[in-house]
Amino acid sequence: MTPMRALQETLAAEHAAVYVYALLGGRLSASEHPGPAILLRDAYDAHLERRDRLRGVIAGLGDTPEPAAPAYRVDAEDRSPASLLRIGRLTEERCAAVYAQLVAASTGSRRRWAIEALSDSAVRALGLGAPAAAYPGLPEL
Amino acid sequence: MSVASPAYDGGSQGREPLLLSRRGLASAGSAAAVLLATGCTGPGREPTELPARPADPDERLVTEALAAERGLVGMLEATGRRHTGLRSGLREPLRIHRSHVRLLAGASDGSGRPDQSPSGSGPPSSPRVRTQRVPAQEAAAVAALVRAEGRLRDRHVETALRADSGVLARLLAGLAAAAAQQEVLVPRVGAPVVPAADRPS
Repeated sequence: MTPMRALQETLAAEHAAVYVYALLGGRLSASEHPGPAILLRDAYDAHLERRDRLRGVIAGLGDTPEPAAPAYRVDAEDRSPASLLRIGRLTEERCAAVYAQLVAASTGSRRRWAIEALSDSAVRALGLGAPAAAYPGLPEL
Repeated sequence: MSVASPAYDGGSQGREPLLLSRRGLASAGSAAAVLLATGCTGPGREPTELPARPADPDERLVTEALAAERGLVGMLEATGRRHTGLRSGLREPLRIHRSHVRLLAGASDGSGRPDQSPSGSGPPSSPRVRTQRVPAQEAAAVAALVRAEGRLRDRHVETALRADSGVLARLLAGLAAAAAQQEVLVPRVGAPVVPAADRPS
């Protein structure tokens, strides 16, 4: 995979993450469930920042950042915090996997950034209720 | 439940050639070839272009990563010996780091066989950490483990940055992320269990 392809795929994952967390946050009552609401808000902010950074990096390299899809299908069973956090965990697992891919396709400071993003998704998944993983971001292991 | 979109599959398996697997390590003729040949690509090159033998610099990085993982396994084991009350809580980090040791050991010896020692850290390849080196106070011992996980994470990050191999860098990034998770979880080892109903929502 070329470095640009990896960047674009990571951007695609971040587009989806931003959409998903915006949707999840909208389905949760922050007054009834302040803890999960903060987790979802923090995740939204983190992915928004990374999405914007990826856009800038790709544009800076002379390519056109791929746009977000018009919509993403999010099948939540219900509006319970457990159900919404489970979707958040899945989102983090997918982001971890694409950042691991970006690690492989990059060097230097960009590789370091991708490693940090991978670790952030792994730790964020814990906060959302995921168990510890032996190989975060490496689903084949 | 699913999260999906027309344009997003989250980097799921199959999109990237993923040649690294425990099964592959166990069955391939040379685990090092499996682990490192895929990684000797550098950015943007396909693993199929790679030579059968890994480059020496990356072999050394695997050895370094293995030594670091073995060091932490030894520390976890010694902590469990000195503070028996922590043993159950240390079971999960031990499982994870022993898995890393087995994977890296299978790669670094070029045998194609993951380390078969029961703990993945046994002699002669791993020094036994003396229990006297573990802090006498349980809380201090846990804090020392947290610091060790942080050092291990940092070391894997730096090793990943030095790797010529993209796939080796990817693996080491995953190991760093696992250590980052343990940095968060190990402080809870030995802490009283809070009933779910009492946890903040």
